Amino acid sequence: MWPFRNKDKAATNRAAIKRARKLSDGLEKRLQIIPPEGVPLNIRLAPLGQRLGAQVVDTLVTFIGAMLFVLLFSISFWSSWNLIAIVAALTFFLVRIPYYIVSELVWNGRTLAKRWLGLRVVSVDGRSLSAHQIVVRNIMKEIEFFLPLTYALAGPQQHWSFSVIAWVWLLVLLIVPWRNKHNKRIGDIIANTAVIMDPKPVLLTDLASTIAMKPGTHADERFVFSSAQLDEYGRFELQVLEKVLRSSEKSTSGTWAKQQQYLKEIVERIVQKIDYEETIDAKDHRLFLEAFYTAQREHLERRKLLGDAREDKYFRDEKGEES
Amino acid sequence: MATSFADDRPDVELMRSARFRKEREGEWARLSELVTHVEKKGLSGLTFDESLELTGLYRQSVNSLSLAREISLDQALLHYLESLTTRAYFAVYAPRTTLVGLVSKFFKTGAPQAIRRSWLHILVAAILLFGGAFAAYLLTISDPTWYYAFVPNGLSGGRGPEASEAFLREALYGENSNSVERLAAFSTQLFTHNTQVSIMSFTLGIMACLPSAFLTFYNGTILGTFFAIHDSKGLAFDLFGWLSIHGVTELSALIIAAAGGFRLGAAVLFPGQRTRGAALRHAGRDATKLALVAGLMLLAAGLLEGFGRQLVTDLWSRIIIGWSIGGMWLTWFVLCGRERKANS
Repeated sequence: MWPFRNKDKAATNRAAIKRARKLSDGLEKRLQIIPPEGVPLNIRLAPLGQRLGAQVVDTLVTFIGAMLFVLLFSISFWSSWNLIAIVAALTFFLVRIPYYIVSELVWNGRTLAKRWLGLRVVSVDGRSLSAHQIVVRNIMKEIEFFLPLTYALAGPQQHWSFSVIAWVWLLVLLIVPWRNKHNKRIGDIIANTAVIMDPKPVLLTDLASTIAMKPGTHADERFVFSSAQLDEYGRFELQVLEKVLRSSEKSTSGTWAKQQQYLKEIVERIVQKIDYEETIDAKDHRLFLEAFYTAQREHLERRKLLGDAREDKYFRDEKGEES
Repeated sequence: MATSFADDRPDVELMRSARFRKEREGEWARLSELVTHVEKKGLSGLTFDESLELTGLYRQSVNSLSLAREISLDQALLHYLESLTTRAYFAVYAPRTTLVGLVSKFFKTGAPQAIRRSWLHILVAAILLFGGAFAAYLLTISDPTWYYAFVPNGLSGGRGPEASEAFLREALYGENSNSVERLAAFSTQLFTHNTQVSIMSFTLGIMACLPSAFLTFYNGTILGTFFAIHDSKGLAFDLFGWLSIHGVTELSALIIAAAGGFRLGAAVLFPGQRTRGAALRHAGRDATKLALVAGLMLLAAGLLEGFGRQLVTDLWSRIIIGWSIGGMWLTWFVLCGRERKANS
């Protein structure tokens, strides 16, 4: 009655997988920087919440610093309120823009709060951050943020239109980085900079080596897969399996039963998909998956080296679409 | 080495990507160590050999990354290499200017050259300011009620057309403490007013110059009105002296800030061969310097206002101090940072 139904279902299924793949590959907004060496680096951009947090912390730091200075000054050189007021005004003026410029220059794009939260300002063009960029993005911060904020909070002594304009201005300011592809605020756009999360390199063990080295199991001899059986899956499925194996490695006793159930389901799926003749005992589930991971990875890496990179299990369809 | 640790199964053959990793792991660990060191102590914390090692290892890790992307499907390894290379990239390509170098470059060449490149914009801003002052002077002299149209409430400190000569004279030379207090309040008010006008006329310049031009002209009218009020009481020259001590610096700052705004606006209006964005970024380099100079001058003006004006009450010393400081600014702008021409 509806002959295309199955095909449609397959297509939506495929779209769903593609979405999932994109999600797991780049859950966060990423920035691509091409350093002079020519190998692109994909860096995680700082989420807006973190940036706002850093701004709040920095504001507190400068405010408290300036307060302390004024306090110390008034204790040691007390003369009149007038003088203290002038000194306070000067201190607060000096501590604002210069603090950001100096700290970002000295610590390579990091203020104190950015250091604590692991954020960093980078130049988008792949060269080193220049002094000009730092100055521009921080002067613009004053104009973008602090100036309208003072008008917005100034209260009733000014004409009401000033407050309205200031609030609209602040609203626009919030929308710009939120809608921007790289979370840039206006100062970042003008200076051509972006704020990223400082990456933390953690080298996990190589699964393939640990599996091969595991004493006494000989998984690769116990389970053998034919080339046809390894032609079912692509990179995405392999890396999902990698994640599963890594997380079940460090599972605690509380989640152990759940993990076993999870592994069992995966084993059943794979056995069905690749037509594996044997049924696998419950105690061998993990062993089977490890052997399959090793064999599948070696196979896919070899195919890739021969120019046949397989993104996911729909790689055949994609080839068809392209040609 | 690739198989030496496989005590249990000495015959095991690792796959290509696993061997690739085993061979290079040591280098990556060393690079990671160096990068952590740089992040904590800065590049200057490295010895000469270590910094050579850092750049060498960085290039190798870039190579490893691009190779790993081709031959390995181990996601953990790819993530690690990407993070490590990125961190090393930040360590190797750090800003090269020191703080002292940056500041001295700004004062020696950057700022005065930017000012000289913007001479036309500065001239236009000055014409607008003094044109506004002249027009308002003529209007207020003929009809003092114009005063109320030009001067915002609170900025005058009670010195309207109805004020007596004695009151004005006392405000200018303030002997009794009450009016000194009033004057101090007024000068801080004027200072913040001028700072705001400068920031606004710089920022709003980006909207095709018009708001900056209006603001500069309007600020000129306030000045002109004040002169008219004092002139009608025969105090014009005294006001000139009172304003000179800080006003020379402050009004110049205002003009320079507006000129910075004009640079931005001109880039939007006449981008030339560039795109508007590129033109704006290009003009921004000079405009930022103008804004910094204006900020510096406003700061100096604030200091002169806060301390100098109350301490120096003699008319001629006010004029001499004010204009000699103005002369110093001018000397800086005109003479500093000129490239020495080869004698021919």
